[in-house]
Amino acid sequence: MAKHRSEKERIALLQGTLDLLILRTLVFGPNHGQGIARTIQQQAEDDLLVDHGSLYPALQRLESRGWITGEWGISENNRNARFYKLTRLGRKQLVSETRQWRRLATAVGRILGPEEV
Amino acid sequence: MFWRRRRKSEDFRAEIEAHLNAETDRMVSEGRSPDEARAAALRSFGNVARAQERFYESQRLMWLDNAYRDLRYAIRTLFRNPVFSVVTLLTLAIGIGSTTAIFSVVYALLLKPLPYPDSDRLVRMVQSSTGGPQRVPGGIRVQELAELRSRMQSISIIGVSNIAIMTMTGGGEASRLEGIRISAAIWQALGAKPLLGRVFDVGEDAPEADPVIVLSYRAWQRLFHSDPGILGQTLVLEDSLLLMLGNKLFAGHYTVIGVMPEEFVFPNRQAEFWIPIARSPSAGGAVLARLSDGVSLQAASAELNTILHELRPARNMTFEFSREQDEIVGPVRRPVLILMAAVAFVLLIACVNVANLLLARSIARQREVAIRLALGCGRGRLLQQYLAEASVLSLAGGALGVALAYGGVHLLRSLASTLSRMDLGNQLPFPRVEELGINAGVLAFALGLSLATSLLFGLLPVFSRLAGSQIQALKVDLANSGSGGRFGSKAALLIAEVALAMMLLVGGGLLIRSFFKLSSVDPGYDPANVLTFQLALPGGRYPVPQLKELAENLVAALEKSPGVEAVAYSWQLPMVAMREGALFRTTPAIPERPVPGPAGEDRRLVSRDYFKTLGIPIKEGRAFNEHDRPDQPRVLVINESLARREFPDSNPIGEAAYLMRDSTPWQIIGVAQDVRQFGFDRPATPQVFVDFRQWPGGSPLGDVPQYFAVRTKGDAFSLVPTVRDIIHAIDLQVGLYNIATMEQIVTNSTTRPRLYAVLMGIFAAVAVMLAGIGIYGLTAYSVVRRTREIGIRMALGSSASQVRNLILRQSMWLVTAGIIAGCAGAAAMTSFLKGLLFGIEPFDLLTLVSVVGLFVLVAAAASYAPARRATRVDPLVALRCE
Repeated sequence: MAKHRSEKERIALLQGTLDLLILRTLVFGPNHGQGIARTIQQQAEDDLLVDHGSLYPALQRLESRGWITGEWGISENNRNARFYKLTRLGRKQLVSETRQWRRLATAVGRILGPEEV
Repeated sequence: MFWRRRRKSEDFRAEIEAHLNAETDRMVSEGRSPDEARAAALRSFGNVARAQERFYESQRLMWLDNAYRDLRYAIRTLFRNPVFSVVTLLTLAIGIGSTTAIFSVVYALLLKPLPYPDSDRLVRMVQSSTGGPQRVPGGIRVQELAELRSRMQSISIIGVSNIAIMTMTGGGEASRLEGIRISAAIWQALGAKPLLGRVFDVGEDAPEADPVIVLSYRAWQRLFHSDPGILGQTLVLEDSLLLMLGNKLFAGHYTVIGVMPEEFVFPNRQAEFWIPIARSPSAGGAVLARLSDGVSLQAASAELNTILHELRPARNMTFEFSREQDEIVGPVRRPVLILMAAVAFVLLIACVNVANLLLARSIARQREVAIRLALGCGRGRLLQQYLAEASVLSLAGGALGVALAYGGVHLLRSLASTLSRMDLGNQLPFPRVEELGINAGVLAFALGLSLATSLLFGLLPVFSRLAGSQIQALKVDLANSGSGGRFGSKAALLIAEVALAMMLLVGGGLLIRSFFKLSSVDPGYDPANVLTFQLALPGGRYPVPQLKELAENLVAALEKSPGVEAVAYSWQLPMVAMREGALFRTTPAIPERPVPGPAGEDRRLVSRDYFKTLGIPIKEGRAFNEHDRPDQPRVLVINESLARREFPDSNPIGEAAYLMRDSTPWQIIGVAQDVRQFGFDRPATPQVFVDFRQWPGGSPLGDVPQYFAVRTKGDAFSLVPTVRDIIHAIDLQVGLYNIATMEQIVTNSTTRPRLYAVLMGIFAAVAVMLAGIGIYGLTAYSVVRRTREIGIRMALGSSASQVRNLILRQSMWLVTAGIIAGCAGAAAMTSFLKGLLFGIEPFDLLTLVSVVGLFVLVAAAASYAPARRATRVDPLVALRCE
């Protein structure tokens, strides 16, 4: 049991970031998994490497929490894809998580001080 | 979101596939070859299987999922080994079932509170340290009761009760009712709520008040066919005691004011009615009280004694309060706990057997286990799986066990049920037996027991498996592993099992032998083919002279009936728990201090053919005959004990003797054989017999025919209709009651020892059987394990008998160790049995020797078959088998 909990905590930390980015991406409209991954990667100017393997479990988790809903549809290049859409609950979550992330980033930034050369 | 439909893992898989396709498309459009693109997409995705696994895990509670899988696996495994499963299940069912059945007794007697509110505050006054088998209840007089009620701080309610025996007359056939007179306060103390009507209050518990009666449910059913219109009706009840005392006010018109519910019992199930004690002919009764809140038994007892010593300065007797429940179950508490311990032993043996079976089977699975451990299966998961298997076994065993317990409780009830009569003494019935049953408490116990046993026998093999090294387990081979530690743990379990079974066998053997000794005691009379009964009659029409005439007429009519050998009536019968003083002496002077207690002689008024009817041999002289009429010289028959006491060196026949406060001599004409009057386990006491016809009636009590006895040629019970017809031909208003054969009464008196002997016998038999199975299993296992060794021995020239002896020797060593341990355990334990044994000592050599002999036989039989199988090992096959 003890082992499980520590694993969960670690995952929560990493995934928390991923969850936030997924929610943020979906603000611009429904998208499928690959599209979400591409968007994050492009917007972060490839500084972030999205692990595709953990993206889908993350999507599943967000869906089961009711923050996003998924539905099968046809993608721009005529392939089957599962499209995700932000729910009202998801929007609220995004606002609060964004605020938290900003506070955290500011606080950490203050402690670390000005960037050293 | 639990209610939402679950996403299927195929759907998830399809999504991943769609992602991979989209990525491949993208990279192909960037100019890579399709194969290259697909590989890159897979690479950047990472572990597809792991993602799916994570999806799967996120979808459910993993432990529940595992548990479900383990459960299915366990059930499949059990069905694959039907013989193993059936043996295991039966073993467990017997263990759990018998433990549950005995626990139902423990629950009903010792754990379940009495059916009164706050029953733990309900106390009874008893004499301190009387040391006898039964505590003597303390009695007080009515004046003392008033004093105690007003002065005692430590009790809130106090009341007295005593027995009332009534004959209901007034028209039809008279019937007899046994009930209790109680103070109105006792209703309050018991918190009793009637089913119909009400109970009586203090105002009605007064000598001048109109008589009222509360009926028991049973009496309401038996006499009034559950008629709700009974309330307000008047019953004519005649008080037997007042009638015998010659009191003119023996009859009373009692108004029925209430009916108690079926479950209301006070003080025992025999009580059929309750009436106010104020009209009692005797001056007091047994005391029941309710402790005030927060007062301890000791404090209340101390206060009681202080006040009683003031009230009775002359009498130096101390009393104490004891919880009502303790008083009710007191005589059977220890035996019941001993039975519980015994049945726990049976359960332990069953667990050991099952553990050994599982252990032996897990050897076959050790490669599977080792491989799974090597592949990264957590030990916790492995443990969980073993426990699932054990739980399936034990829960199924528990379910079977509960079914068995139902049968067991039925058996217990029939073994423990006794004649419902007050005259046979209150130590005979088994208390609260009617409350025995399988209820929620007992079922919860059975469930807990099943789970506990599954932990016990499930974990034993697991620990011994997991303790071993994995690498070694991978290499280990069934046939060529030496006689290592694993066999050692099995051997230790077997020794423990044999030792426990031995202890049970010794205990069971002792109780059975003791019961046979008790049953084979010569009672001094011949109980076979004797019918006994009493008469319920309207007392107004039968004062003593008329009653004697009725008795004589009945005897004369019965003697003429076919199938009747002899007829008699008496004041008491053997086993009737009553005693009458006689003041027997050989000089006319009245002794200042009569011989007290059990050594004091007991006076028995009998009719002419009493000795012939009950089959009591006359050792010297003669019995009464038709010449011993009132106008003839007065004659006595004494028993051997009295003859030994009064005439140690001379022949008592023809000697003169004096009885009561009377200086007219009696002549001793005969010596009758001693009779065990108060039970087979009590020694015979001195008795003097007088013929009714010659009794002057010096004492008001003991002068009327009470019991009738008829010796028949065939089945005694078949005579009942004849007796009834004869009685009704004389008087239609006379009824029969307490109809029983003398054999029934005798059997009734040994109910408890029989119950203990039967149960311990069953437990011991089961334990020996289980131990036999255990020995068989272990020996068979050891033969399989040593197949290769045996093959080599035989190849080198060992004979079949040498091989057989090798195997037998090994198992007999273990059994011997177990027997020695068991004897030591039995020696330590049997002192607990002391009070339950009759005629033998707890250390009984014969029992011990026969038990050891029996055990050696069982062990030899159990290990012989596998040993023979060992001799049939083909050396070639044995050597080839890996």
